[in-house]
Amino acid sequence: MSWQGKILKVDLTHGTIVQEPLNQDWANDYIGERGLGSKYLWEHMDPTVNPMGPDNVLIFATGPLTGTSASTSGRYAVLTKGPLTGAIACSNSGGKFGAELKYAGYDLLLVQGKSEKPVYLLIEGDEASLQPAEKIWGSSVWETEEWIKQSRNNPLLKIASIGIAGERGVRYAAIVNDLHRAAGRSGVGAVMGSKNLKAVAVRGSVGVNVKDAKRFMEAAAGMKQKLAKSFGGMTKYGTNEMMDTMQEFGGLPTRNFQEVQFEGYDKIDARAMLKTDQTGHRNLVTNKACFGCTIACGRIAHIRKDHFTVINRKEYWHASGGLEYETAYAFGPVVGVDDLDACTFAGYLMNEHGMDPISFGVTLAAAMELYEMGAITKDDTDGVELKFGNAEALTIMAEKTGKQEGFGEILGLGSKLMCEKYGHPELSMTVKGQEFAGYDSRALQGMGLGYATGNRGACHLKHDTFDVDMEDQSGAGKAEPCKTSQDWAAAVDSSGLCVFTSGLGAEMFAALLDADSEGDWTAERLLISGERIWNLERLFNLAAGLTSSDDTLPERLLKDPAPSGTAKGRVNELDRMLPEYYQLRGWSEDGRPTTQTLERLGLG
Amino acid sequence: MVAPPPRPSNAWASAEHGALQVGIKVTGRLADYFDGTEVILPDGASVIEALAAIGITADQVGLVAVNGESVARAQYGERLLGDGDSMTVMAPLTGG
Repeated sequence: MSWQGKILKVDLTHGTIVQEPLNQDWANDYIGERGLGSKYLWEHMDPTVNPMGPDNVLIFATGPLTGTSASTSGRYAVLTKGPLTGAIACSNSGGKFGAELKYAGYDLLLVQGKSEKPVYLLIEGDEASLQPAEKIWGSSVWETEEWIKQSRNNPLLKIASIGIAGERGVRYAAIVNDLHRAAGRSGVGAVMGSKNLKAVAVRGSVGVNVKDAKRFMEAAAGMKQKLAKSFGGMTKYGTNEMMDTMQEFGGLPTRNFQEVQFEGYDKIDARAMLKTDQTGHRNLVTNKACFGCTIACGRIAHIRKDHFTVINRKEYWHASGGLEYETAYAFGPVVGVDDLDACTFAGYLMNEHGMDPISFGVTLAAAMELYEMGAITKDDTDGVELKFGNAEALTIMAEKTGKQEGFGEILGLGSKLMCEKYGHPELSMTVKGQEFAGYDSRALQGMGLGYATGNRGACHLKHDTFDVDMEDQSGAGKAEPCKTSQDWAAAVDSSGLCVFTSGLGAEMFAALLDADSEGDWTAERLLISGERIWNLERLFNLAAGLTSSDDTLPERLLKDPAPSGTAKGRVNELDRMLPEYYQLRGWSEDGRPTTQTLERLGLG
Repeated sequence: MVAPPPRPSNAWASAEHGALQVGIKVTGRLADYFDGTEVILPDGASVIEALAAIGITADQVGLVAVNGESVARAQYGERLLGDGDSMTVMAPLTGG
């Protein structure tokens, strides 16, 4: 079977590293990765602890399919209590790091305590050690990767690290691996920084064995064929192919969600990235795949050398991670910017300094609205005119936040705390303190319900109601697909594969898992496991002090009608959807799983 | 990726047949199938016939809007188009 059967427990306070057997019972009940990590978190920490304190636990978890020959199998998840939300944080990444961790012989890393001095965790085969990181404390992600590889004389190391943002507690700091893939959301990088853990560097030397190789290869080949047929558009255009659709639909959050359509969308969408200009420059250099992926939606881009962002900064003339839909939205419509190169540069800075572009962009959008209404002035913003559409302000603030300089320190608080600080909490476009992705929930009602009930706060990846939301723009009938897709996404996230494969269906996943690991994996068992994971996350949040009052949306989305688009005149109908959702979940009216629900799921 | 099908012939859309001029905008990956801005359709044509004219099948579509108003999938065959209408054909959303 593909489990290595070992985990690594790292106690940073005492400087100890211990190997332990994987708890196979938990793997059987919680699949792996997100689910298994949540279970380990639940069993190893008090949910009420300060997320930035030494008692918080940080977990890197792989899934049963991570590192196998199934397509998109490079995934790993980081689990912790999030500093942005105070809720459980589960942030998932691709690239090659996850597979390498498996090849090093470990299914999961569990990090506790806080190191007295900056360190990084080095895993080379069976040898794991804590290495001094004082020389790279204060370095960017890119510098850190290079330094570790050079100092170890091992270019094959796969590295997940934090930048200055993580070191200094930016509440949406990311953990970046392989230079431009990230466990980006919910501030997992800030927790890593709070522990004085700069990086995890891994090189493995063992393979992964599956239970039934012939059956596994048949299932994996079938999966690849289906992906090749259905994801051609994603390969060519990347996820940013959605920009013009959201524009036409009227669900493209613009200028801090004051509007739902952006006039400059076609200057930053996927086709704009593919256009060659008069000088022969094209933004997109190539696409790029994560480990073992047949979709290859990743973008590698470069910036015109005469653009104001890089004209005097040759260090940014290389090609690097380009815009995806969420980054294009977060540096584009929501802040009113239509400068493709400026947006691309802001994306570079997110990867370089280790930050979540969605949370940064939406926080900056709130700051721009505060500025335009006069609640803050140039005296607050280091002299920068923080108006919507100011591309220079976008890139200046991205850099200031990444380096925690000046007004960047305020932006590093996230939208919720920043808006509260200036007396306008209503301008924060967040759920549970986490900023929205690029879908306006007045046009996408089920998305709004998914945002409101998201266990890690506003998130577009933990459910999938796109089809039903496009088909019908009312709140009718959205609770069931939201609940069901949340459970399914939890199962997919726990498998070790990318969420983009979720459309292949439970039967295909069950076939893969059943050939991969011990146990009789069926579609039904996967779905019930997903529901168990969702409810365990909910229990963590309830224990942390969250309540049903946190399952809500900003008033702007509940009271201000969409000003244009196909949903013109609509507000989100959360009050209609939420009671039905609780009922379908088997939760009480105040959003707590009932005794019967917990017993049915084996959580009693 | 799967190669788009050959572009449909619009030869039948001559003056004696064509009565409707309909503006078309397609989004996302559907741009690989149709890169024009309008089609000429026979009088009484519905959304489903307009889709056929641009070489896109209903199951490839996320949403169709006519003059900015969404059309339910079940209504594609019944929603008739008028001369000068503007039809937007949106690709499905995939998240990410």
